[in-house]
Amino acid sequence: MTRFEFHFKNINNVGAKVPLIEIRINDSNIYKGQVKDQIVAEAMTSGENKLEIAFVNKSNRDTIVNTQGDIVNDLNFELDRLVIDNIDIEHLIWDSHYQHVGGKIDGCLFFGPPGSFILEFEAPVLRWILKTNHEKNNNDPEWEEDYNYYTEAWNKIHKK
Amino acid sequence: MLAKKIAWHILVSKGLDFKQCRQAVKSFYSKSRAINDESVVDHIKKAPDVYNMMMDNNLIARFQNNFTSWIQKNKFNTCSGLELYEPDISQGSTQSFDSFFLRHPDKKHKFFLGEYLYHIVVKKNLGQKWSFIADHRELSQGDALILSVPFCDTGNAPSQLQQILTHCTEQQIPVLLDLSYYTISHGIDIDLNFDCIDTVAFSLSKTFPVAHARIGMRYTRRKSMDGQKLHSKIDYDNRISAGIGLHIIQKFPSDYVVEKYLDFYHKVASKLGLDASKTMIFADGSSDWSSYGRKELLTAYGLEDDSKFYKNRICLTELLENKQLLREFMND
Repeated sequence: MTRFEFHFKNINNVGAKVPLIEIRINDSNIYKGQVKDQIVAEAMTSGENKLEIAFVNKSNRDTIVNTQGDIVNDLNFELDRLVIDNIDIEHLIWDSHYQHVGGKIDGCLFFGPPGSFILEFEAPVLRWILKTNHEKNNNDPEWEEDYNYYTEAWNKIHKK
Repeated sequence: MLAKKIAWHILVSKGLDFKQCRQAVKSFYSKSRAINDESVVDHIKKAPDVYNMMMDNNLIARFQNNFTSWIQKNKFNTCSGLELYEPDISQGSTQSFDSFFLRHPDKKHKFFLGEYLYHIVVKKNLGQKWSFIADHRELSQGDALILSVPFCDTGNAPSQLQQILTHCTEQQIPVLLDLSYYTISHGIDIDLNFDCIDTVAFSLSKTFPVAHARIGMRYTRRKSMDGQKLHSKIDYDNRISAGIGLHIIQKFPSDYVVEKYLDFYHKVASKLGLDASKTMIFADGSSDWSSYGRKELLTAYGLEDDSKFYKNRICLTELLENKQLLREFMND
């Protein structure tokens, strides 16, 4: 099982209404409910995977504007960090997009309009992080060798 | 490479994550620290009460007296003539070095290539006269010499030690012999009957995991006087480090580490294709080991230009204290 830790911030309610989400891995629900500072869930992953965080209860009435047209209250929140199997994916969180009715926004962690945050990643996530970082920056030629040393040692010590 | 594989295994076994392991692997073999021997650690945890140590008026004297016989009873090494010198407790061997620098401020301090980094860093930063030498014939009147025995860079006795000391005596060059590795080495025979020897410095930091307690012993000529000796004379020394030191040396002989780890040390060095040295925690690596040597350390100290003078001294401490984990690698 892969462990996911979602860290959210700036969670804004409108009156008594709180933002609700559904978190899906490869289209299977792993969490449904209120947005909290931290949500932990588990799912089976292998190879290529799709993570989706859907903002499910936002409607136009949840954005309150004043007479000047300025937003004075809004049901929204932000994804702050994503930790998979105890590894913070750090800046790779920005290799995502936010899909909403009006289109797609790359690297958007703000949940304003109704829509879904979508991140495609590979499992094991450490391998994916190292490989992706090297592909982007071409500065870590030993990533695979070190990854193999680490996993071999980890598996042996934890008797996998 | 087997060495890298072993390093990752040990670090993962300590619960480090990938990033932490990767960072720690870089310095895994370049350290210079004592083995965290379980029996010693357990004993240190039973050290006397701090307040009682501070209030014990005889503690320093007992430690000084016991230390000399502790050194002299070593089965693997000899150190003749130590009785010619007067002991005074030192904060590790470092305080002895500093005192030596203070006592000989006008001398040009010289060090053999590969000598302990501390001296180089201090001299460079203070802008004082110093230089590396490759041969004792580069020493002349007006110089002072600090020499580690076993030699810091190799873990072996310096070649031509007798000739060096004879030459220094003839040239009236004061010498500090740094014997910090003496109690983790074997086959070291030192004759201290040379007039040039001004200071002999010992430390427990490399022998037992007490580096942060700063426990050492300095031996100087009876007639000499400086700040360190003044503190000793007026009983103003660090009784806590003396108390911890005494607590340890009363239980563990000065050859404890060598006696316990020598066979395993040789097995590990051989398995990794390293040249074993006379000092238990060090071995010499070929050029294949260049990424594991002290290059990063030298760079961190701003001494990257000097790295060509240093050997690939490989520290095996982590391996020696993980015998159980290494078993499968040793049997491959």
